[in-house]
Amino acid sequence: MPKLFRRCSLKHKVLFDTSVLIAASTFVASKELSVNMKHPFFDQSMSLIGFIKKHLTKRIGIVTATVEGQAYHVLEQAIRQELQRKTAERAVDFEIFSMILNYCENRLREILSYMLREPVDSLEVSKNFVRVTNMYENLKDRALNLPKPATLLTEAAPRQLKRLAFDIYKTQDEIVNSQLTNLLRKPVETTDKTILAEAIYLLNVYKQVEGKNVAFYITSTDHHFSPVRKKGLESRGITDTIKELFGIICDWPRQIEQILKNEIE
Amino acid sequence: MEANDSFADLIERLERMEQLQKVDTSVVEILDGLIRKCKETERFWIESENLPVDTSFLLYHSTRNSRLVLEKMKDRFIMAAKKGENPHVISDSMEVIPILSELYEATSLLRERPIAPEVLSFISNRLKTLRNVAYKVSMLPSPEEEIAEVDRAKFKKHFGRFAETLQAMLIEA
Repeated sequence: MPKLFRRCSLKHKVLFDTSVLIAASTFVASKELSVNMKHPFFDQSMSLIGFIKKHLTKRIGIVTATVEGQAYHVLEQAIRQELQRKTAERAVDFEIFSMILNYCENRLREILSYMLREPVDSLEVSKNFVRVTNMYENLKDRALNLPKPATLLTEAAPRQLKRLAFDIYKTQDEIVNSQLTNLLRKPVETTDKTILAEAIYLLNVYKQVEGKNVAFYITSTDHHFSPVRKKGLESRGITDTIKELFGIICDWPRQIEQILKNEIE
Repeated sequence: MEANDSFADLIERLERMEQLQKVDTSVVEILDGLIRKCKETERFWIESENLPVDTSFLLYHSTRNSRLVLEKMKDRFIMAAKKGENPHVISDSMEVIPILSELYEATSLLRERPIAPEVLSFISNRLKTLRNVAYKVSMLPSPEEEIAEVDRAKFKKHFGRFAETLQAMLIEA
């Protein structure tokens, strides 16, 4: 099949995770106040949203009611945490946090207007939820029994460099395994599992409607989905398992945008 | 005049204006009264230090947003009367007043009653509805208008704290 035709026939769907919607919503710019503040992942999140907006007719960006509700909830939760941590001058704190919440919610509302909100069958999602839970449980077991090759690899190093080699290999082990070991430190939230279960359901629906020519992605800054990248190394134990079991590609907004650019433009 | 009576009076006048398709600026006085009451209620929630801080904040935030909508409505009535424009402001106001009235009543009642979690959830949802409807009918101040008067240094500091909290909530190290 000619390459051009193959590219055109493939449909791309990107489910936005709460983390990306929040990063894109957390931005304040005001010339009058000389304020220009943003979330550390604002640029890459907004760049992907800009791409989605540019190709609006292709209906690439999708969300579900769970993602949408969770995004609003997270904004409120962050304000609540801030107020509980420290309220020096209630009148000032209340007014400013009320402004910030309104500001971010306005942005979130605008961003959501570029997305298709897909309905889901809750019974089917529940069935997928069980599969997702099993997957994360198995991955946790894997995390507990990870091989530690640093000691083995160090044996091959010259005697005077053994200590240095061990430290380097150990750090590499830690980075390469970090996506799995994070699971032990920070268990997966129920809403994250629900989002993945909904993604599996939606991919099946798209396959029924569009045939097999569907590429389905979840864009997220959460390491329960997207790879960890550090010091030129990559940790993708969870990401690869999701791809292998469910056919869903998870990655950061920058990488998803790059894939889409290569495929669409 | 009680706030509930003010809302009833407002609806009555808006209905009359809609029939006549003519802006009547006498509503500005009613709106001023409601804005004053909202400010009093905001102050009440700020000073309610016996309540959990997130509860007081939600009730303050809800009342403040009601006031912002009322202030925008007042500005639009004044502007419509000055310019003698097609009175969209009447139908736009009719869209938001029922939600405003409901939200105002629910919030005000809590000044004298125990606050159940389900009531807070109701208020939070109603507030979202109010903001969505008000946005659609141009009854919300723009974000720039809203932050125009704020202390820049304090705003920056609070926003920085908020962004850090969000990052910690959503991103793993």
